[in-house]
Amino acid sequence: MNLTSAERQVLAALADLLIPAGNGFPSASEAGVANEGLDQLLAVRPDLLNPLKGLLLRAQDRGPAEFIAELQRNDSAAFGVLAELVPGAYFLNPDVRTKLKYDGQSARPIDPREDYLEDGLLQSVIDRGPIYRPTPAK
Amino acid sequence: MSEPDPDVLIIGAGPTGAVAAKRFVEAGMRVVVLEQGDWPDYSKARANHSDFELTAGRNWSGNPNRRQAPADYPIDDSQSDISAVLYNAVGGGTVIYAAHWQRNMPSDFRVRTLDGVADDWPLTYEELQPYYEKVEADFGISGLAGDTAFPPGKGPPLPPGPLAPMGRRVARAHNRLGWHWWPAPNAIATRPYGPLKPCTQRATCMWGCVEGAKGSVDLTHWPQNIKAGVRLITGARVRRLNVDAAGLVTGAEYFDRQGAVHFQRASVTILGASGIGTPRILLLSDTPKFPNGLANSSGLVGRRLMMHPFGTVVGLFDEDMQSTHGLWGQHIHSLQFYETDPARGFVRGAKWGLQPTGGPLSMTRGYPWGDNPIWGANFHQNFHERFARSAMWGIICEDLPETENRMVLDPALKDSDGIPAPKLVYRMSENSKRLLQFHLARARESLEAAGARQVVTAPLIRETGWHLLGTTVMGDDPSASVVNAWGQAHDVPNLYVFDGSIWPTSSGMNPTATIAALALRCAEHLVENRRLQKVPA
Repeated sequence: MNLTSAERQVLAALADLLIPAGNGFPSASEAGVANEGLDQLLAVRPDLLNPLKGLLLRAQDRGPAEFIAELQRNDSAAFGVLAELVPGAYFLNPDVRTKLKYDGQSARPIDPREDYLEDGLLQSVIDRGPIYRPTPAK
Repeated sequence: MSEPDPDVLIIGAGPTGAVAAKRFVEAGMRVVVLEQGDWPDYSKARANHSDFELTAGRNWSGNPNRRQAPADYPIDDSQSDISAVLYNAVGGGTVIYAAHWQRNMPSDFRVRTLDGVADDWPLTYEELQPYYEKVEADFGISGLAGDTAFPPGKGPPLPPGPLAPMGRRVARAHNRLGWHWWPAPNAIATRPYGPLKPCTQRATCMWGCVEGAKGSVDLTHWPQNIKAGVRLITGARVRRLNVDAAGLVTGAEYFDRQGAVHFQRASVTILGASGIGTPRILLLSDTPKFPNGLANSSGLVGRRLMMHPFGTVVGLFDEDMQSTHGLWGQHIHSLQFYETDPARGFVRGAKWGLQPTGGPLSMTRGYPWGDNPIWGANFHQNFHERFARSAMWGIICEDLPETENRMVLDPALKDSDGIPAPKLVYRMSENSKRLLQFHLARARESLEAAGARQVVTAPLIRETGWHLLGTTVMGDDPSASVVNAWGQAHDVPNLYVFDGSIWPTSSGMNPTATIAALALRCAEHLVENRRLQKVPA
């Protein structure tokens, strides 16, 4: 998707600073954020490609930590591209989703149980009585 | 032989137009509706795809400046604290609304009498109550009768959604605090109901409901209206209303999608184009007889714009709140601080709705989390503290009317047909700022009492102008209002406004319930009095 391997390497370094490995979860680059995850993301969000390329151009020959700190300080729009794209691609990774026990915004039919009646929850509100001001008489 | 002119022309196929058209066609009237948008394209709804969170904002953004669809007109919001959110399509704002179905409370109709500010409405809660009950049946509302924040009466037709773990936790806390809560009313079907299927709690209500469970009028009204004989013309952008020598509206000029101009005649014209679209059309329709725009002898067309400043407070809990899913929508609502308490230093109040927080990508974004750090060495720990373990109060603040808060025609900006675009001039009032700060603080206390380990107050964001109200105010005095209590323009007897533009005050509620009930009340009055209605020769 129009990104060179050099650009992908720069992205991987930046992405790993945002999402390092930890708590049993892979780092961004290990989860393919700069490779297949990025391609999958750009397929549905092509609007992010040019801002990303501009950002990676600026990041060349810069220390990734220094570059990110500068974006956070002075260029919230550019940092916003990274902050959308890196977790966006990360959470597309099937292994990450499995570890999260997250199967997307899947259907969870409503349990017809009237949970508002449990433990006298609602009765407590009713017992406190009306809280509205009635329409004043003319 | 040509078709006879319709009895009624409605501009706008949102909830106002849908409710009114239904009543008119039931009464045997001929109805034509002009809608500049098309039918919503639910093939772009991605709730059942892994990229949902990435694509939702692109296809279902409520900001026309961001969406830039062919049916949209640009809005200059550079001089407004809040950006307008609306949807130009069959269904209007109900396509993207969160479906919080809130009636106004009795005091909302008597703000001047009770609180000494703004204006009373020329009707009462009790007068509107039967219309609430009727439209709640038509929209497939879920909820529970007996809410202690409202007078007794019939409840909605469907049972409420679940409180869910978040709602039960906060409900218990409010009971300890002695604060109000109630199972929330939603325009979300909890059981099969007419054309609606039951909700499956994907928490994606604002970005294309893939289930067909949300009570949006493209599902609940328009197919039935069309079947009953209403003629709905999509891709029809009105550029002005025309007036005859007697000062009566003869109909509307509109562009079709190919740029051709048409004229639709009608005996009566009704505007239901939103608090921005409606005054825009009136201001565009100036004539030598109406030099400041149609129906504008009061000078109030476009003024008194109210948009409901919006706040969010999020609680993070140690236990699983299942908050990736649920009703979005709301699980419970609280009206504990809705009524005025002069000791607080402001008047009026706000409604709170408790919602889930969504999927994983939503845990990393600036809204609602603000500058609270997530990135870097502690990313996973920070993320897991939020993901599925958080719940948020959305706070709708009442916005009082001020004549300087207004919509005007932009002198330079135009839509794709060359029609002057609207410009918003809006500043949040001191009363609104105090009100918002008070409610954010109380909502924090609510979540802390519920056991939240951390509470985050979200940054205020601009794109929260979902509720566009007040710009053609109703009242009894023609010098101080645009329309009367039945939506009829004081200056033009066969011109009506039925939408949220006519609200004298904004309440602190999500407005669709009252917009729909008011539209039905106005339509009912027009039906009953149609033989007395002045119409063009």
